[in-house]
Amino acid sequence: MNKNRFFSILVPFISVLLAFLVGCIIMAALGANPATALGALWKGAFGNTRNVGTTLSRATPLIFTSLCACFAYRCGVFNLGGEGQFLIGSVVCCYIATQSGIVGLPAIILCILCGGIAGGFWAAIPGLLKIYRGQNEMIISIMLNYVATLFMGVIYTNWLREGSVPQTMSVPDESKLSRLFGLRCTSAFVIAVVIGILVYYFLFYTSMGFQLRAVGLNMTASQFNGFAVKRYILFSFIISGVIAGVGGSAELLGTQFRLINGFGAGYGFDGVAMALIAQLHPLAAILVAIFFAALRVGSTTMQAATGVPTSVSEIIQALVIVFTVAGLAMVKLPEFKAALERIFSAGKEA
Amino acid sequence: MSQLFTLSFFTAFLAAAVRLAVPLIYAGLGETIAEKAGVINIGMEGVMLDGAFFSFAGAWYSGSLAVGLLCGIAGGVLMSVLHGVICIVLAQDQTVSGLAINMFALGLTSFLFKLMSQGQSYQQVETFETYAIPGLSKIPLIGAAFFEKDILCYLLYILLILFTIFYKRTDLGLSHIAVGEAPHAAESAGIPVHLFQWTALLVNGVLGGIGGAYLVLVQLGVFTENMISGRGYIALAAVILGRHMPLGMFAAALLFGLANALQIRLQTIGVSVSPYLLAILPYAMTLLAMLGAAGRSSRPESLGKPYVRGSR
Repeated sequence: MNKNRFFSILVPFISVLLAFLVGCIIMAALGANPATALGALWKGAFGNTRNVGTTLSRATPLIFTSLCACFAYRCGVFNLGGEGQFLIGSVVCCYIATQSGIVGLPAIILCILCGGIAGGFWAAIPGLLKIYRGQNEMIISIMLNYVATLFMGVIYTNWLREGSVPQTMSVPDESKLSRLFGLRCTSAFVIAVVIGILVYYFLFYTSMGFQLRAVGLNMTASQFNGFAVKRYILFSFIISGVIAGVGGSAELLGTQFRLINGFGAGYGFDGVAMALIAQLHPLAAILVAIFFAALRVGSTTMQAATGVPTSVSEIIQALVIVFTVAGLAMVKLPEFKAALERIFSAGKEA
Repeated sequence: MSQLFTLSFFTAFLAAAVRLAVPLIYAGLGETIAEKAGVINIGMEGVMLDGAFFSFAGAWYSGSLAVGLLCGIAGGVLMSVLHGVICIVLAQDQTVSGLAINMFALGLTSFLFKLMSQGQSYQQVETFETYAIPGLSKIPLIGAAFFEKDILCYLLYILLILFTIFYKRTDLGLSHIAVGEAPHAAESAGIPVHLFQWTALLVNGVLGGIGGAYLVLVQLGVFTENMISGRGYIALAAVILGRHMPLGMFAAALLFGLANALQIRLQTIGVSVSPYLLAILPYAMTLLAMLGAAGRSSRPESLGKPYVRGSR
């Protein structure tokens, strides 16, 4: 295996270990036995099939948003608006599911399609502003996150509000996504994995995917080679938004069933973080999302069993991100590479 | 509607706008300085959050506002130094580093705050007092809004003027701009690029930290998890709208403050529109302003590109 590839896999693993090490020190400082706490964490996330189902169901929206981030970054643009696209998708999905009167499979297909289109539309805004006005796509997409969150607020407090509680009416039972093996996780998880595989295939086994990655690696060189750089940027934004929008719809139809305050909050930036740890590899992004979901689901059990607060799990998650970013930075340093060469050549001589 | 158009209404409205804008202007000024040196800090949100938390913790444990402020500054600097290590020393992608800093700051502050609040609830900490400047504060309309403030706000006015002079009138300011525009040319002219970038990032941390601390020590007196809630990003937008100049950024942040004050005002007088819809107003206005921001981009030429000495 080539050396760079080896390190790009090794670094996240070491980062995870280091993050857990710090986590254990904190646990010990809080007066808990780290081994017991980690055992409870594991049990909570993967202890039995029910818990596995819960973990996968928590991972599903994260997979969508991290694929959304991966896709745009592969083309060299930063889509930080995954959250807004996710929410707009779920808002449109909610409107169709509750207002159109269509139920069952046709409703599911229609809802997910329209949710995806809405997400794509929302992502096209920063894409267009980027290529035609040269504006910073990150700032625009973040602003649109706030607009989407507040717009969802209008939906669940006014337009589709049900009763005295600020929430929308529920998706009809016939239009809900079916559960897998009676567990918490639904066919939304299957959709997420399928999209992940499709993205992987597109990026690495089609010529369009190759060109898109080429644009991401070196925009100037791609331009000289006659690639339609602007078109690729817009395309990657829209597809990335579609993925997030489908994710929002699937989350609504599979897990939440209604829009309510806090729906989807934080998923956008979580997705960005996971895409970075997975180093923009779609299949790795799926695994990273499951790993983070496990930390979140398991931490509740850990808190109940050992009294270690769930925020320790949040710290571990944050440290994984920081260590990975710093670690990947370090192995790319010329000094590090030179040192590595010395070690390798010394090994050969001995 | 008659209560909309009185002098006292406009005075209160403007005062609210300035109050909402000050933390943004602090952060925006810090960001302007970093970006002028070619380092973009998307992690401004994290810098502010760190500033807010550590200022609260400092003020709470010491009982002194000055200590709180210093702790807030230290918190902000901690984050910007981390950013500097990743993107100046290690020459890595500045966007990725900034995002990591935001996440790290959110995790760190939420965690430490939970540790702090185990088994007790917090009262507000004391906040900085306001001093009306004699004479100036009596100017109708703008007097109460701009000149009946706290000491940190006055410091901000001085900093804005100083930095404008710095960029427009001093050799050092020109060197600083050269670092962001053409680092290789600057280096060959004998300007220590990395030194300038580090200084800019430290100032970025100090000002971002004060921006976060301002929310706690002047406005709210309490810390809550994720309390910056996007102000760091809005400050970044203000920098772009202000065309990377301190006074332009000041105007852009004030505009955002005005839009926000307007929507809050409309809510309180009971306009029959959903408060959520009204709350979109400041963001929509920022977006429209960015859409309309025509002409040559003011972006420093080498913004976001890591500078490695001796590379081409």
